Amino acid sequence: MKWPLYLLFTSVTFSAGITALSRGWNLAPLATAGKSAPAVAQASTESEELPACCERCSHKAKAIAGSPAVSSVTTNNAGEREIILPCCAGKKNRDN
Amino acid sequence: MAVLKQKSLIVVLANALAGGLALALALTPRFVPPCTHQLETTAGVPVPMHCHWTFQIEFLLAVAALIVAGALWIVRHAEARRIVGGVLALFGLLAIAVPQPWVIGICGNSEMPCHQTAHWLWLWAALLIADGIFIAIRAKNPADKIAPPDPWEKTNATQKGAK
Repeated sequence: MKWPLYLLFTSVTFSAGITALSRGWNLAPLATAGKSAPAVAQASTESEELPACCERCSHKAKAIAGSPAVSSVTTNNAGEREIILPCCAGKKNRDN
Repeated sequence: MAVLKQKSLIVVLANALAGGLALALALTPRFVPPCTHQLETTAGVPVPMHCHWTFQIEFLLAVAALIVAGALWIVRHAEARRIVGGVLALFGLLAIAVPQPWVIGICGNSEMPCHQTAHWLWLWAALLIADGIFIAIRAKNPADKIAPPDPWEKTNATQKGAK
């Protein structure tokens, strides 16, 4: 009698898990990402193309200065702009 | 008799702990959310950060662990309980491994919120490993507890007494 109950538990848990996952259970803001403009686009009007986030993230990111996706944009002594994305552990991208 | 009752209580607690830890693995990203910022690709598509995919896999692992933990209430044979305990420990190991950079990884910056989520998940996963090992070690057949006397030994003892 216990095995049918366990099969029921398994199927209910699995389908509930898959449903929750497909609805963005872990990352709720993602579920609404397609419905409105992304947060990065709302933060600023100044847009700049980044070569890539870094090797680790491998995002060909078009991040926007002042947005949450960009930690800081600085200019070094050589006059090159250095862009730091929060997901890159402070690794700098040189915007040539 | 009291010892037997105590043992079964420990087993019940270990079973319940396994289910609770699997639930905690699944629910932690909801209460301690990972990074929610997004990057926009050159194609204009917003993409989630690195850690998002890690926690998707963690959630699937947690659901699988919950299903396996449910089996603890069904199986009675010691060998089956050892296997279930071992599988739970394996899920714990995988849950610890997934956020490592050599599997999927999380964001590199230690100040990102995903690091806090990962720390909680590592704690639950470590407890799940310990619980799984405990369940596997403590697995005993009901027959082992009240073992019948060995008739062969009894015969030998009688023969030795006769000599």
